[in-house]
Amino acid sequence: MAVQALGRRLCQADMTQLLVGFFALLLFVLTVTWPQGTGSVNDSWYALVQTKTVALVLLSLAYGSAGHAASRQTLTLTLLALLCFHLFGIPFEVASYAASFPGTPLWWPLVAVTLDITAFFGVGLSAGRVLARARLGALIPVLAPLILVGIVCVDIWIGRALLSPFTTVTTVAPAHLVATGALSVFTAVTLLRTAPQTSDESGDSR
Amino acid sequence: MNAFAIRSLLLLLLASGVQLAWAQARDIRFELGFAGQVVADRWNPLRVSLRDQPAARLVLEIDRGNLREGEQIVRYEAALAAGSGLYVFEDDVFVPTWRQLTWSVRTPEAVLASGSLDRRQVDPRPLHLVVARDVGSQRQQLGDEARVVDVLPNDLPTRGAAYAGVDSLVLEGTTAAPSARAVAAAAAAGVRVVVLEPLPERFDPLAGLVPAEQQRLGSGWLIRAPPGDLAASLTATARLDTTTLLAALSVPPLDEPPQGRAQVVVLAAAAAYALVVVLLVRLGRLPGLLSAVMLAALVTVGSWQALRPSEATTLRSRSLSIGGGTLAHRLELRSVFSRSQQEVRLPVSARLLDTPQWQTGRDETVLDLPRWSAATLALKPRLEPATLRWDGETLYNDGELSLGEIFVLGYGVQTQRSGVLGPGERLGVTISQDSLIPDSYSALVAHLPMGSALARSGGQIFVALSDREPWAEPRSEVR
Repeated sequence: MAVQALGRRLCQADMTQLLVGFFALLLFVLTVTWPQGTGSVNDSWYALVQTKTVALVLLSLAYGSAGHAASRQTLTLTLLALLCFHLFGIPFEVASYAASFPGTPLWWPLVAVTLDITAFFGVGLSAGRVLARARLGALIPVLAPLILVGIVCVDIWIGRALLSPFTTVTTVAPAHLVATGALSVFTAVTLLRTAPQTSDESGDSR
Repeated sequence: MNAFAIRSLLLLLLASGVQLAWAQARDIRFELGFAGQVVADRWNPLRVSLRDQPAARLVLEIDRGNLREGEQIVRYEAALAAGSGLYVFEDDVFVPTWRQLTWSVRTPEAVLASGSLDRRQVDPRPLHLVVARDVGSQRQQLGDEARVVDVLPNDLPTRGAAYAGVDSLVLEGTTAAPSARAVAAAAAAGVRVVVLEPLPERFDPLAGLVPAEQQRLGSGWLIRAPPGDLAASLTATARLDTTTLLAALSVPPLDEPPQGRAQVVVLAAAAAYALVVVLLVRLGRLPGLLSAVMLAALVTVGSWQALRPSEATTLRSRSLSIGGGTLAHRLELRSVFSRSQQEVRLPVSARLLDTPQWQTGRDETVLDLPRWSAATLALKPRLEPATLRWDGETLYNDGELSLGEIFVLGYGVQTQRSGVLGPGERLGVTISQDSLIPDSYSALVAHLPMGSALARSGGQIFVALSDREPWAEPRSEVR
């Protein structure tokens, strides 16, 4: 059963450690940005939603690029686990949104981050496969930050918020929705074209 | 021949057009201030008269900016009704020190009339209004520096705010009698009204209004004096400075952001949630995952309920009602704190204290507030029945609110009746051992004369001014 498999994936050590780290990061941001007394502006949502998005995008890129040789099932479960991170982080986001009164509608980061995770997972996966085929596998660990820096640079170069998660998560950007929507479809197609099980995993599953 | 006829027709049409425009301009009359004298940084009376005009809008634009900061527009708009015959629109407008002041009466299609006031006309000195056939002797007594304005009895408004820039009103029996209501409004709004004796019979209603040599009404004075004693009468009494009183009323500031949920509480709840989710996911497998998802949904809804204020806007107000006799002059501050970026429409006519630009009208003030910002408004001053009133050495509460924290300048805190004066109750004033000024009044008392009684109900502060000035030394025993 898919949900059981997802439960098992989340139980694995890497995911548990990352979930603890993810929550610790969100708590740190809340500690730093939540106003301590009266008279202060509550801007916690902006910092929190940007940190959360960038962290999840980095994780998506990293897991995508590192999973270039993994099976469809493993990749899909990893992607779903990352989407669960997003889901578990929503209470932080909503709490800070409720107190901050930003101009951005509440639905926007929920939708945008879901698409970001899916889209950049596929980008990471494809980039990882390209590097692996070019026998540059040693560069895969630095691929995630490099891609993130690259998309930020592209946005600066074209002069509009298209892909950068830093800017697009706090402002409604239909162009970003279209771009990440297209990349999400690309991710789905890439996953569908991946072999269901690799030869190593078939032995494990038995 | 045809060309001549066409030219004649064109000339005729042009002439009739010019005549129509001239007639329209002539049938619209705009008056700001008393006899065209505007007091800068004060409320001024405004009067627009229209005869046989279509429905139009009055637009008054005051640019208070400078070369460094650019344009800062204060805009006043009001609807002017259509109709045949004479239509008169009257209101009071706060006029800040201007760089450019323009007005226009316009329909959607055309500007019917317009005009402007020159920068050189900016003058913040208060006016001395004189209602007399010959103002020469009064002008001499008031001094060369005084802004003396000759006004007609019928030109005196009955609205308190119109007199914000008026220091004194001198009435002589040589003209038609002004309305007692207008004179009472002037006095209650803080003006020193001097009625020069003797008065003819037609001034009897006014004489009834001023039974004593000098008495308080609202925040001003009604004085009877012989013509030669005008200067002495004005020297013996002082006008309350409403600008400093408003500044004192705004201490402590009204526009501080409201208190949100404490950081410790939020962090503790967030940490507890994170810990439970990690434990559920790590130990619970499928049931744990489903429980964690349900917990996330519950905490999302709960955090929204707990942290989202019901309104994005917080309104606070503080008022000062300065009474003398049966009338009071009410000054009111209102602060608007907006957590979100929005346009706030308040159903009041007001000026903004700390914002350079605003838009107002007869019954509405529009504020364009950025996220997490505040604005403080000073509402148009108005007159009302006095709530706290002196009668001899007894204080009366004529209002409908229970008043607490009763304090009399020179007598201290009044602790009789547990310090509370209920509606309809009275209080004999005694010298109190407790002369410590309550925090609510500490900024105000420096600007009030001795013998002023202060009481409050929430954010409403009531002052009863004493008739006697200068106030006598505190008596040893009072009731």
